[in-house]
Amino acid sequence: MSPDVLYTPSPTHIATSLWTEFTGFVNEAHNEKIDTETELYRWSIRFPDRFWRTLWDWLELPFDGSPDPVVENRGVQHSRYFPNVRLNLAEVLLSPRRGIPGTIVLSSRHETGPGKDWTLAELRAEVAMRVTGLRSLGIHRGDRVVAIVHNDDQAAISALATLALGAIWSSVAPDLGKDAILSRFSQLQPSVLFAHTHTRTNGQSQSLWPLLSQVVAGLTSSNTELFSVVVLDITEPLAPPNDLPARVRTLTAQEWRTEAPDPLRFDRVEFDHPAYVLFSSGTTGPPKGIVHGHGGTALEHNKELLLHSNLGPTDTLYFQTSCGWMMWNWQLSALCTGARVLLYDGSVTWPEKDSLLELIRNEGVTAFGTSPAYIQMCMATGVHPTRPDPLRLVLSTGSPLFAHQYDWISQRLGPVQIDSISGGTDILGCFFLGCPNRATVRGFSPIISLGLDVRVANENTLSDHGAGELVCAAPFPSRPVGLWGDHDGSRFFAAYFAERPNCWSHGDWVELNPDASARVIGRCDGVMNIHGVRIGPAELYPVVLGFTEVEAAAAVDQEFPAEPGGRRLILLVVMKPQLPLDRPLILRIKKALRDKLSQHHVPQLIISTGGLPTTFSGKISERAISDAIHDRPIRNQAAIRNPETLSTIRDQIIGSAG
Amino acid sequence: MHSSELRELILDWLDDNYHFGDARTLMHDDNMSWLENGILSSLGFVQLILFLEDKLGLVLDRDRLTRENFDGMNKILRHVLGQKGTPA
Repeated sequence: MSPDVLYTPSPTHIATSLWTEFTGFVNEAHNEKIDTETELYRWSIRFPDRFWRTLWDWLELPFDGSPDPVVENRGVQHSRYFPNVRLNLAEVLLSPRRGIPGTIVLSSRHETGPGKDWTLAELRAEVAMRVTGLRSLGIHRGDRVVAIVHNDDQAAISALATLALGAIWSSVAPDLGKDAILSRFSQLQPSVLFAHTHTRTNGQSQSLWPLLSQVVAGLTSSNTELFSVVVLDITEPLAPPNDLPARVRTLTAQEWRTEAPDPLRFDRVEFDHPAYVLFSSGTTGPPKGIVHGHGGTALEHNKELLLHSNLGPTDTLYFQTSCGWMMWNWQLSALCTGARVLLYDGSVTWPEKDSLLELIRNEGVTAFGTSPAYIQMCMATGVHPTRPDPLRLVLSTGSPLFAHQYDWISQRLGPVQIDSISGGTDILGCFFLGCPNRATVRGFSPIISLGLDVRVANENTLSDHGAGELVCAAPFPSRPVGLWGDHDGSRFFAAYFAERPNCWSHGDWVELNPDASARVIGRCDGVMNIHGVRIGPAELYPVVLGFTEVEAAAAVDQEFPAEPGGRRLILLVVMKPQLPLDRPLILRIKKALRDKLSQHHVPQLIISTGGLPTTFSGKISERAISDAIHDRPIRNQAAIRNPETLSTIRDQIIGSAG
Repeated sequence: MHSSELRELILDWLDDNYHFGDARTLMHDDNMSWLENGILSSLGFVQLILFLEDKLGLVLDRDRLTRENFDGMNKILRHVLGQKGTPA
């Protein structure tokens, strides 16, 4: 066995996996003789319509209409899947075909102690009450419901109720600053805000009303509609302050509880009807509101969680995430598998550094989702977990999982299957995933997501193996419906299709193997990844350029193994003449970024430089800086007006110890 | 290294990375818990450990990095200065 193979699934596991079941289903339906995982992947991209239709049949999702045609409009940007299907994502999640009646499907835990468990029937009843409550506020199909919430059952129930109505859900975690929240939610003109009123971590409680008040004031300043704040805290909700605008109504979700709830009804909507808006910031402009549809999300998540992760009713999934990351939406979808979804709100190191892994062990988690940043924290602080007995799968995402981190997981938590999975907010899913039938090979994701025609691009050449920029060369159902407010589609085109028309350009630099295993090497589009959190440089600029001493700024990330997550954020500033970048100013800039955006937006290094590389149209090229400081060829050098700045910046950064 | 020098080094690091000029004001008691008082997150502790190891050229004993040994200024000073290999 190769020394890079860390885990091999047993023949019994392979024989009984959902991957194997689906392969047999495909072979029977299409008279094929597919045997290997690579063969199934290749078949899925060679005959995409057959693949998606077969997957549809195998899943048996609740729907109205007809699954024919599978797709209309053939281009990647304009394809429209299952145009004659009507379904509801919440109904899909709350109707698990493989679920076992009476078992717990959702559990909520907090660092302060035990939480609550929900059977499917209890969960559906609670969602029904929240649907009725939202209806009483006048919420219906297409309305926007936003949330500043912890990762608990109340957040999950609120999201499911919103989806059930055909309304649109968008959430952030309370650690995001006011400016960052308003730059996202104000685009949506929401009618309701779900919120927790205090945060309790590391044994301490803190009111969230100072943040909530500012957000509510910002959201209601530009419209005169009635706006409702629905408080989700079950115990000791904090009373709202007196300075909320008069038209803001505040109530608690508990007020909607009743002994005889209305039956739970789902609004079956078009396949592409918006379910979620997730935000992602890039190198220019405000954060993009990426709109994901009911059907694409339902189909893709069923595929990823059943086929690629092999989750079922005997599993408990815990994924370490906040409500502001797409993995929260992803893990909530595991309800569709019949597995128990465990939610945890609190510090991962309270009261002890191994508290989270103790939770994993005590709760009998079988599938643990985490990130390289957490694994590095465990390694750096000397966590020695007791192996959680039922654990069979570790999922890692957020940034590439390094070889020594594979080893730590394997030695401390193993033997387990380790899937480094990768995709993102843009597709609310993954391009690279696990495969229950495959061995864990150190450094590589087991397989490309079925049905996604992933290639690597180098200049104008596309290949199915080697290193290059990740592109998807064929339509896929989980492609976002579009960007919020982008009525003519021009921003959507510019974000994903301008570089290579009719290909989805994802911005990751990856390596593909002939057997369809793969790995992510890093970003290649100027978007940064700090501590596993994706950050667009454009978010920092309004704050930094708000300092009168600063003339221009550029933010990039750099590979930096000593930093948790393996990358550090560098802010380059051009100062106005005669003005120094001294330590007091550096601290003021950092403080402003922390207060207005978040701690993740604080650079590890701020340096003054003489000039920034700009294109002939005047745009600063973060991508060129990133290429220069990583000693890569400058991909757009011909478009840079002042390429001499790149070597100066490179020397400054490479020469900087801090 | 003297205790007061190490204390200043740590306070400067806290200012550079988490408190941006407010560290000395917040640190009104060297015996206070940093986790309980929001001085440092778990991620911050990792960054501080890596910083101290890099700056002082030592490897801290991971098994002894517990809350009892590391959650607070005095605990960190005692732990680091008692560690074999800390510069004199």
